Amino acid sequence: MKNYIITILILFHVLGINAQCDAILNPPQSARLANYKMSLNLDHENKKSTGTQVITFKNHSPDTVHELRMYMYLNGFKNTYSTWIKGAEGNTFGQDLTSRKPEDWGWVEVLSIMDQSGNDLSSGKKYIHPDDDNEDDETVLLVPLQKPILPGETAEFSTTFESRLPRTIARSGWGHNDFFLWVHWYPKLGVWEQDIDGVWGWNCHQFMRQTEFYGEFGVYDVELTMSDHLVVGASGCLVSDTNNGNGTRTKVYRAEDVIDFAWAAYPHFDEIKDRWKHVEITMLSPPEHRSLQPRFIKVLKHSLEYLEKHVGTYPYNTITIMDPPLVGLRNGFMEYPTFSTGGSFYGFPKGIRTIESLIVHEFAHQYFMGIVANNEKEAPWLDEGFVTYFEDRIMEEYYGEQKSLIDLWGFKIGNAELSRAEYTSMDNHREAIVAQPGWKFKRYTKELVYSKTGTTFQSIRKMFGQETMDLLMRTYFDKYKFTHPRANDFLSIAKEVISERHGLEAGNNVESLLHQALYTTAVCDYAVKTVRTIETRTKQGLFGTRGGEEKKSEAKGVKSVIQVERKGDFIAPVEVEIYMASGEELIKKWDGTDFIKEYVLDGEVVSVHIDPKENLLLDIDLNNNSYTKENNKDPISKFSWKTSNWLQHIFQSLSFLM
Amino acid sequence: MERIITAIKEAQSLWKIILCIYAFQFILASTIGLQMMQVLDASLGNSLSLEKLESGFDYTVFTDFVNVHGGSFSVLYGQMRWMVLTYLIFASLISTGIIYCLIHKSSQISDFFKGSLQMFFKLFIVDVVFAILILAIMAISFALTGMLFGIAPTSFDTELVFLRWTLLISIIALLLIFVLTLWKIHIKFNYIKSDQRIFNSIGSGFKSFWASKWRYIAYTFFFLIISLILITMNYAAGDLPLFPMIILIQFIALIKVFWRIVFYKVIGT
Ligand SMILES: [Zn+2]
Repeated sequence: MKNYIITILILFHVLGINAQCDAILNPPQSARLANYKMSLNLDHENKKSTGTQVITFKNHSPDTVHELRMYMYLNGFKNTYSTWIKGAEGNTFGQDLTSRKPEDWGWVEVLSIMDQSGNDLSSGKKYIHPDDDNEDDETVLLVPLQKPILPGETAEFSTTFESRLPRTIARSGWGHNDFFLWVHWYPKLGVWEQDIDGVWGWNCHQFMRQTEFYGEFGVYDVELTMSDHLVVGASGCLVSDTNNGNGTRTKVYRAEDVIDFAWAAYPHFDEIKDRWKHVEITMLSPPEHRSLQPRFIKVLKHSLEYLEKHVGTYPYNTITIMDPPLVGLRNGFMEYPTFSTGGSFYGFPKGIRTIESLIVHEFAHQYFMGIVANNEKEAPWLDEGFVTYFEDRIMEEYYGEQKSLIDLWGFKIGNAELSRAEYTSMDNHREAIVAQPGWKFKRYTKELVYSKTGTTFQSIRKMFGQETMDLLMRTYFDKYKFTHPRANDFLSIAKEVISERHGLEAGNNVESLLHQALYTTAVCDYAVKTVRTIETRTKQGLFGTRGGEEKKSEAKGVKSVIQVERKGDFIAPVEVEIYMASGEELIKKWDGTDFIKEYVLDGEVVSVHIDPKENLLLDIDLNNNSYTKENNKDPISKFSWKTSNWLQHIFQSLSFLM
Repeated sequence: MERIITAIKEAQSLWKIILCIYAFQFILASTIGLQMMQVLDASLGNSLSLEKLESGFDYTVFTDFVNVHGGSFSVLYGQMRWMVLTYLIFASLISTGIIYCLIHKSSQISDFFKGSLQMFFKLFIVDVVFAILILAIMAISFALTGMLFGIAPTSFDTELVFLRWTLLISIIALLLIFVLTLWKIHIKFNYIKSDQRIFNSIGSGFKSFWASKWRYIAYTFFFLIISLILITMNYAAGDLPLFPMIILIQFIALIKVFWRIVFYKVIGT
């Protein structure tokens, strides 16, 4: 009987684990061109792992593949000569790199590689540096093939490799107390694709500080063996979990239709399970963040709900959120397929929702970069910009506009407001264009790639409404999920969708808006220049034949002369809303082209407002968009009184110094 | 408690001096407030954005304003810095004047000025030395906290360790600042009360403070808590309509001057 019960219990346990792996979307979603079967042994004391790998690669092109190119990104943390670190040897990501011990550096090495015919390819492998001339960079490995892969053919490669994590600088690494985040820990293929000119080849860039990742879709079957004191979370679903009885356990994960596989381990993680519809939620969080855990889960469910409603169903059945402890904080704030990392501190106030905002951001990446897998290096705006837009939308939907991010002691900031302000507050709006590779940004990546793009999308939403925006996003998502779209793919869908719903002129306007916002550094600033009232007089001079009768001028009514101006070089059509003293409301359509546009109207004007709904959020100064003669100036008085009052308090506090 | 009630009663009789100090602070602060009003009126006075500020703070209006007119802000900020530094000299005069009046049980403005000017120079030097010490304590504790923050991710298991250290540093710094403040008040009282040389007052001031140190520290805590409550009320008053807000915040500013005199009285006698 006892055995019987145990058998049932084990069965339930196994079923429970396997239920995670039931595919909800059949058949396979992606072309599954690069598949990995990996087995890894973690030596946690030496922060090192040894692994074996079978890569199955399908050549889907009409060209023959003569070599493999692989990302070896842990080598970016191998020394100060790597392209990732070079130029920032003294201090990177707030870390002093000058006092690192040898064991603080990380690396990954292919020990052997063989093709399926048994040819040893190891001797031909070498590191290359296609992006710069840095001979010391070892982040891209080239392996010449003895047997080329013909079009349509599938090839298999077996490797053995060793990798050691660095003490975290950023992204991947270890912290003390056995904290590990394993990212780009295995030799990983680049993406075999056509370049802009239609030539097939490997897209496999070196690891650069300003850029993230790019990978091919496939299935990952990963077997992790490690000390049993570690609590583990990973991409994909847990297939089995076996205690090996020797102080180690083996966990097997499977992740389908994903572009990467990441995992984390730490002995002190709380493992919290929850569920949203078909999605099993796993949260790994250190005990000192226990009071924050409900905030993570709640906002994750909001994100799942919002994105399902406005973009499409989350196609995987697991999501793991890892909230790193302090020792692993530098590993946070990143996204990997079905595995997101957050960042928080003990006692974080409820009114400051950066924790939530971060989770929304990283989860939205599951859609943009995880499922719609753009090249994050060459066109980072295609994921970061989208994600910023959704981050702002989701936060404001669930936490309120103009207070979603901070709502503390009467001080309120909304996510979309902050995104806009990040762009508008740049000291040089012309620093760079948005639509360029990540490595070209010297600074202002966040302000341009994330915030300007997000704000541009927000403008399109405000101009054409939520429904149209949803349709645009959904159309793009449906068409390009599980593929690698480029900028033009999105731009043409945007024009198409807007044209279909709002007419060709609107489509052209959106095309122009996106072009100016993403491909130029044009600055948008519309302003009311002057509003003058002039007395109009009736006819003056002589009338009738031979001089006739002189008509006296007499004051009769007023006219208003309004001048609106375009101060920047960004051109967009706008509405000008005019309120007359008579109570009449006029809406004038202005194509926004002229530097100065003048309106002469009968009667007295009360107020003028360019773009009154504030659709054009890229306008760097919204305060100068309007003019009124009759303002309630209480807010100015209040602010001034408060300023002098706080100065009084400063005086009083300083009195204690003396 | 009885001591505080007596002090409140006695402080009331100094209402002319309280009004005088309040008026001085008010006028000084208003010069900045008025300029602020001009800057805001010139840049936002005719903008419809002002409507958004009627319900309180608006981040977008504020950032656009700062981005475009930030220059005029920094001019005001520069003025404010000088004003604060200059005020410190007056602050020394004021505290000496208050203590002089408390000792001589005088509520005459003329005595307040007489006392503050007569005793000013030597006590000003004491003030400067103590101010430097207090600022040094603050700087050291900030530096220590900053250093701990820097090493925290690689040296501490959790942020709780960092927070505990920060709390400990803050408490120690606060206590040291209390000690210096209380000691200084005692120096001033002793110096004005007797014809001691200033060096003798420094010694006797410490002795008289140290004799009942914990009681004095407790009073200081109490004083601080009431001040914090007043500040919170002042902050909350910001949501009121303009006129009631002005009345309330100015009343609180006045009360705080009064409360400080109560504190001197409690500590010094
Ligand atoms: Zn991102």
